[in-house]
Amino acid sequence: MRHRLGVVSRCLAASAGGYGTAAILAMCLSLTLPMPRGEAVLLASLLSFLLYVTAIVWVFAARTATHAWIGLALVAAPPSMIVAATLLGR
Amino acid sequence: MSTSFYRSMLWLHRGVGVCAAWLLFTIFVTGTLAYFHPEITYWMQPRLHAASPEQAATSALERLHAVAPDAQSWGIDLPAERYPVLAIRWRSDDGRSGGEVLDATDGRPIRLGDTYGGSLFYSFHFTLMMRGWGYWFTGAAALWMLVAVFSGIVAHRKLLADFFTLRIARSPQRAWLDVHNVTAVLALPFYVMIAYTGLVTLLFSYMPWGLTAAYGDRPNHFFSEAFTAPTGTQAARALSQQTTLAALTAAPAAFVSGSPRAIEVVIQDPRSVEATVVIHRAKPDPGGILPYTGTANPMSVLHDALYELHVARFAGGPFLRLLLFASGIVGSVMIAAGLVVWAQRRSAGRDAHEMSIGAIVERLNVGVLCGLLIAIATYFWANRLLPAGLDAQSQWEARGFFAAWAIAGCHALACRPVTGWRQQLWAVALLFAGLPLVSALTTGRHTLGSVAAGDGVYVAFDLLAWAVAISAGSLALRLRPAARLPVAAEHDDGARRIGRRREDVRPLDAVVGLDIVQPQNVAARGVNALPDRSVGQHEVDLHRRGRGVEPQYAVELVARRRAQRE
Repeated sequence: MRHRLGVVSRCLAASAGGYGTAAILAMCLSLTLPMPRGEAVLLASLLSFLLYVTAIVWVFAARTATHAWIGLALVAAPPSMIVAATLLGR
Repeated sequence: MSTSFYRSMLWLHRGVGVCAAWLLFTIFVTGTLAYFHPEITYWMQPRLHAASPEQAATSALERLHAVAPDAQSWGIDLPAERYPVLAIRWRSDDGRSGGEVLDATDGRPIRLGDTYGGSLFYSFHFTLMMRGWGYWFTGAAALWMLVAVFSGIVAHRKLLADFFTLRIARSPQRAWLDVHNVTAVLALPFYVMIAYTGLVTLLFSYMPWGLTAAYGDRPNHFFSEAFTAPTGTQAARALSQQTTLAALTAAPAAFVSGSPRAIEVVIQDPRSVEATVVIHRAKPDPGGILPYTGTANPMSVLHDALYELHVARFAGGPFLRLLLFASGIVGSVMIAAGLVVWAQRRSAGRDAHEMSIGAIVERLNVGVLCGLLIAIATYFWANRLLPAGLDAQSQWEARGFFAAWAIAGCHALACRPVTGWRQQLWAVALLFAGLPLVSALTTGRHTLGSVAAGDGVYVAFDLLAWAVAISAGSLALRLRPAARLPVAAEHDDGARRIGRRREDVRPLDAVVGLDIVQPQNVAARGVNALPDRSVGQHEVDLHRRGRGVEPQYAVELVARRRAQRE
């Protein structure tokens, strides 16, 4: 039962958590990459799928489901702050 | 690489694989056909005939003289290379206009049949015929494909060694795993490319957040900033040439043949022989690969290149397109073989009447994999057999496609898997073998005639149909309905010898492993040479390779291992 809950949790972390992390990284890179704004958005969006795949692999390679969530949160936290600061500072 | 990472990737590969495989197989097969969607549409419009540009121009001029001699202007749309429709149009002094589609070989007006042609496959490939949200499924499938490819590479530690291992004759289960492995390696770069570029085709539908963060509610600014108009040379513009009607009629080859291809002829005031004729040509095509003529912005160049990779726009000639087509077929086989391995592993050693997840997947495999091929064949049969003048023929063809698939699915669920496979593979074989025949009977265009006429699309269609029929037929012949019985007997026998119940011992031959253990390691270190969790997978290879390990020893190996744990 516990094992199954772990699998469900990992699937959620991979799909929703992975997408969220990739999205927040895409936002952060779009705002911060040192190139014209349009190019930054393109590059960030193109990279986001690779980040998403990496996140999924990481979620299933992590020792436990909780580790997977914590890892995603740690990766997503700094870019979230940068995005929030940039968007609020406008 | 640590064992736990390897194991979690193997688990991920199997889980993602089986969840995405039906969808991926469908997307792969329809996408592979979509590489040739204009050609398929041409085949499904049997009144169309390919002709040389000068022949088409001559036919068109004759017909225009006959039907609109007093017109103020004429226009001729010359047949395109991949979808050869010859169309004429005219406009008279009082503003009335008309037009016809012609048979390019003799200039007779024809009515184009009502068909979706290849565009059914093209749009099903990414919309799944679910308007508005189908693309979310195809996007998820593409992402899963990337995950499955990565985890598959990690899980398959002996990639290179196994690439040269194809043991079709040894055991059917092992053979499917080998087919999966070989086809996976064979076109690996293609799978990564096609899955990633597939996501790029709908980039901002799937991942709009960077755009939203940088541009807020003014996304149009982004598209004008990032994708600025080309500023380079204008060499790629369409070319045009001017002449007179008399000159064109006398020697059409001099004006409309050659490269780049002539696409349109416009004739002003054709009542006079000195009428002005303008011939428009397509963009120049230097060799097989089209040059990139986009913007100088490097990121949009990258984006457009990825997009064009997916739709094969760079493939100027048929050969590169054929290579991509072949990669698509190899990929479809890879996905199908992986599914078969998964289902066999899950339902291994069980009673065939017992309904487990593995058994249901095994039955649905038949319905999805064979069913799709049956549906495609039915679509083509419907095109040839539906009565002429039927209202909304294109709708009926599409209904035939989906109805055949649904019937195949029900049949597969109702049959035992082996029976389902055999019957549906025979259905695929018969439908595809008969396709060139029914086409010849209804259109009068048979294979030898198409060879003589140099009609590559019709010849290729017939040959491919027969190739599919032969493949399906030979697979059906290989399937033995009683394949499980000796395994079960051996299994019982092995269990009895070590004094255990059958349920306590994993079946011997029914388990397929990704690992290959060197027998000398087992000989030297005994059972401990085997990784703990995958014991069940190893004895199959030991047994199958027959290097001095007896079948009962292999069963004992498993049982002893379990006894130790208990």
